[in-house]
Amino acid sequence: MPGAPDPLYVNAREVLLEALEALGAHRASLILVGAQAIYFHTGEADIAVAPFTTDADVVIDPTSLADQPVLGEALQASGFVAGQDPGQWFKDEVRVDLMVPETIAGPGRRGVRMGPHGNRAARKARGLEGALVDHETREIASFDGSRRFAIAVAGPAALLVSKLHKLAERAGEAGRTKDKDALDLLRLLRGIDVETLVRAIGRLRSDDRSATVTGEALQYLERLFGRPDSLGSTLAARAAEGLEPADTIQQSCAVLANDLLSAVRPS
Amino acid sequence: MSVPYIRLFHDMRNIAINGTDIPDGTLELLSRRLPPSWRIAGRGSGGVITLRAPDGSTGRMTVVNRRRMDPRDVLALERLVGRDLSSQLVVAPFLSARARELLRDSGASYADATGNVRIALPKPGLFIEAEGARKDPSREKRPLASLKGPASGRVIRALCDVRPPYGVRRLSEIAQTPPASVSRVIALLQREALVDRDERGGVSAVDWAKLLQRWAQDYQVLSSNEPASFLDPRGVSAFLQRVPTYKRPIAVTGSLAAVRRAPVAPPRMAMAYVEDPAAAAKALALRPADAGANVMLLRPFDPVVFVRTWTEEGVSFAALSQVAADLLSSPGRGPAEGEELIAWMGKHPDAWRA
Repeated sequence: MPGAPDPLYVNAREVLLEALEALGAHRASLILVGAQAIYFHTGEADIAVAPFTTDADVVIDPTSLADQPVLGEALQASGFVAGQDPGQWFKDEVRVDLMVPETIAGPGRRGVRMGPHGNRAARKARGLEGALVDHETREIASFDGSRRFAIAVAGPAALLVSKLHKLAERAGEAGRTKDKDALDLLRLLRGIDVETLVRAIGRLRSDDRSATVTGEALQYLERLFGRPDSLGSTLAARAAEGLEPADTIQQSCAVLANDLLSAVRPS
Repeated sequence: MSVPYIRLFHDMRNIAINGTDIPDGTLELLSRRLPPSWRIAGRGSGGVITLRAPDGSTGRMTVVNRRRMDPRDVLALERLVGRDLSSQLVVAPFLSARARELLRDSGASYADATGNVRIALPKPGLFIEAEGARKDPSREKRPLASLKGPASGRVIRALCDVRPPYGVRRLSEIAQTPPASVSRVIALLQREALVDRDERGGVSAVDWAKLLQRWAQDYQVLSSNEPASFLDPRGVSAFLQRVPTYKRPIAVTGSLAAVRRAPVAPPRMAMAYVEDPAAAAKALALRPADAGANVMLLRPFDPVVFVRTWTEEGVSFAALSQVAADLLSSPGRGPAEGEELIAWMGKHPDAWRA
């Protein structure tokens, strides 16, 4: 039976809320992505793993970002410490990543040149473009209910696209793929019905900002999850070890990936 | 002449274990069937019986007394004695309709302890034929040896689900099972000290926990029922959420049902009874599973699995007595979960026992 949320997850949620509070003035330019956004849509999506994540991923839409207050200063004032890479902010051992979708991030290698905010407040990332197109405002609260903010949360299709990019990008690099990312993808496939995903993927494909990364993501879906023995399917099974049989997870990945792929392919 | 050993042995068995004396009861039954003034004049040595006609003339028949005389034994007798059995009187506790037909065909006389009698004596001429029992009464009395069958299942479910006392007739109504079958099951359970009976034969007490354990020795969820495995790619909980949309009878069992009451681990495998697993799988969007099955649909051993179900969140669950027996006879951690459930049932009898 699901018990109390994992303390790590509770802490990660707290730190996310603190970041949102610190960035109060810019909240309208922020979109929650990553695992915390996924659990927002899926709950547990029937995988008997308490969903926990120790990081919080936030997309910044630079096109609507005001000049003041300066992002870094606001975060530091609330006790966040800048990490080694651009866009990394730490508090209580929880990492908050501020990211800008690559397609709209402009020049620069990793950091995003954001005028008065500098080059290190946020980092470029490919695959997050969908969040700009597919999101809705939801209320996010701490587990004890003491704090709540309205914030845009990326939709399931945008999250699917970004997770697939993350998995594909890391698939070639030994030691960087995370089993949990694959399991999060299965959570999305299990928790969201095909029709909802198909409609949203249609919107992502028809928007210039997200069309390319969405097409790429569908190729990644086939490559990483198209068969029970594909890389993503086996990673998901490993993440669910001891909770659900590996065969069940691997078969489920392949069945759901192919259901979605055949539904979005032009007939 | 070469006779296969097995056949010879079969024939010998019947000769070896039987005498030529007619049991007293059958003899009396036979004499009562004779016309007035006919007599049984004597039981000579060598198993010969003599009948005397009113005019003093007598006829003799050789007695063949058997503990059993099945139709195939008649054929064996013909092989021993010859096709014409008209001088033979076959005596047995019971002769089936088919055995009597074969005996008639070969001209034999016969008498069984239930009153099936045929005397066909050529000289002096006498012909009697009378009907006794059509079914072997000893077969009815033969004690039940196993609790495998559907009738046992229905009676055990009734004994668990409804508190005694009740008589056989009332139990027969609850279990939707003929009183004779109910009596046989109760007799077995009484021999095994799982039920107590009052002086009138009714059931006064049931040790339902032990009874479920005893049932699970003979009843096996995966072999007594007909299982088919499927994959719900969205997982076991998603399957459960879809169950209320299924409009035919369905009863969820196994750990998915037990977890609603007893402290058992989150289920990995859903189990549900449906009338037609293939049709139900289609309606519930399940995929055929070569590997990784997480839903098992069972064609039930008896419709009793759909009786006294309970509903939560629109999902129909099998009665806890059924769930417990299914878990106890499941592989893996099923038996331990069955024990957990029985412990819960013991603490909360009012929650499940009528």
